[in-house]
Amino acid sequence: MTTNDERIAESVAVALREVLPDWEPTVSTMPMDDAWVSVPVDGLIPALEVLLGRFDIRHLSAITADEIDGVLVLLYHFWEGEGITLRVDLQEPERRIPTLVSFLPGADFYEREVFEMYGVTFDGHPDLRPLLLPDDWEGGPPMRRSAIEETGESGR
Amino acid sequence: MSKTIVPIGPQHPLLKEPVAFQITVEGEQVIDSAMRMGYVHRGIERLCEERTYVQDIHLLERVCGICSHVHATTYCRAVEALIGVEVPLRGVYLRALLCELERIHSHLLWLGVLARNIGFDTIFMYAWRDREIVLDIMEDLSGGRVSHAANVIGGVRVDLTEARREEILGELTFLDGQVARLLNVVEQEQSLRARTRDIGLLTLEQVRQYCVVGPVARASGLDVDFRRDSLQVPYDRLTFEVPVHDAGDVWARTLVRSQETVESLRLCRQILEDLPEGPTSARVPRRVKAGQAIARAEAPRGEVFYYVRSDGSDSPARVKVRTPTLTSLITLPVQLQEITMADVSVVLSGVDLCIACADR
Amino acid sequence: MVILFRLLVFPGFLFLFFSAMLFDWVDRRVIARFQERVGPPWYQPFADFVKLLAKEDVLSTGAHATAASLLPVAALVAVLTAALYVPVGGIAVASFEGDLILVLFLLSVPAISYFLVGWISVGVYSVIGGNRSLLQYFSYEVPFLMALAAPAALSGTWSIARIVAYQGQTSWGLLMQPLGFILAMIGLVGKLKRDPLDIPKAKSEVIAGPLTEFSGRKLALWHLAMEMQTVVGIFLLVNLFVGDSRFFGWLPQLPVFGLKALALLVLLSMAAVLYARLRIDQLADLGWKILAPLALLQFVATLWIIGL
Repeated sequence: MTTNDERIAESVAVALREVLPDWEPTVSTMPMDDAWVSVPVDGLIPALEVLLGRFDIRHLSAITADEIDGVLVLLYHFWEGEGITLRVDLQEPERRIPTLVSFLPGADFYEREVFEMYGVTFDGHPDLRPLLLPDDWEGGPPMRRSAIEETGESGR
Repeated sequence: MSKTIVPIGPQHPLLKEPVAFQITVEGEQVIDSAMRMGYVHRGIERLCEERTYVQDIHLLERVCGICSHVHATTYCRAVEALIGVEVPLRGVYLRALLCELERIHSHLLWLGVLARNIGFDTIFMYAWRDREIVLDIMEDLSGGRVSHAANVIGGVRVDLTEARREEILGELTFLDGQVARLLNVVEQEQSLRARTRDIGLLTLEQVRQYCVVGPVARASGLDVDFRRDSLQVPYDRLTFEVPVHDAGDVWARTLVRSQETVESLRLCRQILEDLPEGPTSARVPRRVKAGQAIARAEAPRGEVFYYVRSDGSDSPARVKVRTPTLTSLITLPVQLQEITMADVSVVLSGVDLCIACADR
Repeated sequence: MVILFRLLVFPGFLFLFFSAMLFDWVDRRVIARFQERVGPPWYQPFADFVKLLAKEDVLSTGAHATAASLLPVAALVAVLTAALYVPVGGIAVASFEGDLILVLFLLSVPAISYFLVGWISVGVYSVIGGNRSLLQYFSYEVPFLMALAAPAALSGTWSIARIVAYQGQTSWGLLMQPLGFILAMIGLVGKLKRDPLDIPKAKSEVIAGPLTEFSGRKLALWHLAMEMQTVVGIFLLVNLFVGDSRFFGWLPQLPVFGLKALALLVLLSMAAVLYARLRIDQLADLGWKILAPLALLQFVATLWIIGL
């Protein structure tokens, strides 16, 4: 499995080098056999086209937003017999990224959730409304570190 | 005829959990639908960051009221991958046993809910009666009927004596007979088929586009099952079939889930027969190394996804949960097209809604 | 005195009331046993009735107060009036040549009030349920009426008592017209809105249909009207299809009649146990494409036999 993952991740990286000549994608393997490829914000759509078109990887398991060392990171977890994750570091303070909905309608709810919880704007999303939060929700995106520190609330 | 908006939810006899649908109808014909969720959003992902790794097991078990064990298991597997600890084989087998029992319980529960919603109370009563046997086995194993708290990081805290193993095998044999009889009725019953055929259609292409998982995907001809595809221990040592049907309607989903119940029973039997000797859990170091891990598993409703990031402290820095119901909910606007008001209940039952899962 | 006794006690109001409660209990108990449940104790229907009477009577804003009060009463009165003409074990309060037609007409009144109560309602579930009940009425009523007209045609009279007497000379209507009996039973299920034809009040679709916004006394009256309609409907079918008591000649008529009625009730309960609810379009198809032609066939065959 692991070798297979690396092979796909390597091929994705090679393909990405062709599409994005001035970007050097980094490839790494995570525990549980997932291969990770790091792509820039404007490289997401080309990377997706490579995944969909060349490798027929179409199952998007989830979109995770995570603040790693103060940088807001989006992780696109794909699966097609093996896991492959695209890591996109968002730029501050825009926090914008193109939407995947036109390619994969299944990304709809995942993007809406990231939008409401982390305040990321998905350019081109047809219906970017909050998914889970109540209509009268006040305050910033609740999962953001900054929002948590501002309110000082802790569940512990 | 004029258009009427029929509200279904947040409180409605059809729904067991709060979610709101606005169904626009013209007479009996459904022409539009809208959904609002989040009524049981508990902010579990955020709460996880505030609790320790061990506390999170019990918190994440409460993501879902039906498939609680598979959530805790998947989370533990992610944390174990971060630590780099290997779970003893007996622990892995016992985890899988509970997962499969949970699948049987979930599918029987689903069958009952579907039958109830199309006015077939007899099947509802029979399915839930048989489900009690599974719940009793699980209660005996872990002390809980639904929330088992069986997992610890590094294995399970429950064990089986030899005598109890034989007893459970006996109970499973009885359940085999009951389920076979029930499913025979389900497969032969004309009025059930008349209500579910060609309702809630999803094509293979739509299923792939919407990234649907689990029985709903398998009922549309997509051959996925994470137990088999990810070669997880112990499923790589057990033999089981993955039922796939092509029709893509609620009837196909009924067949898929029925056959999966039978397969799960087979799996339970194999797990109990092959149950290896040894400890049920491994000793784990107190610190979780910094890093990220992903774990996937096949819950009763399909692929459940966990992402855990550790920064080296007592609590995870981020836990992401993606439940299978979320993927089915996206397809509801498609499924709710070109049907009548009476089919709404069939469609909503057919995807096996678990709103608490989807809202987290 | 006799008339008053017959009107109020037997076979009038009190008898009907207790029969309704008994039938309700037997029905629930039989269904429960088929579904491997215990079922309620015998006093459950009484308890339900009393509880509803004691509950607060809520009227939703915008609802038509007078109509909401009158329609359940109209349904109940129609059922009670119909009951006067249906003999119980050979005893009827009143009868005349053509009482079958009057009974059939009166038994349609609850269906009409049921529809009306949905139609005037402000609740969306009630409106949909009301429309469904009307569609259902058109689907089952034609085969039902034709199935009941056949015994009348065969015995050459529209009097229920005479139809019973005619069966005494020949044989049970059930044996002479088995198809008609089946059609009449299906029609009765539709008329009583019982499972599997509880389409207008399907819980998972329209909550309780036209009765969604009712509570308290009015709901109690509705339930009583429905339960009494079950009793009267079954009594009517007993008279028309198994009216003769010759086989049980040595037994008193009344217990035999009661047993026959309970047997029909168990048949209805079994239909509820064995089938899933139909969709309204499926019922319309069933009614017009299968039941109505069969009823017509049966009627024509009956006329042909009479002509021989």
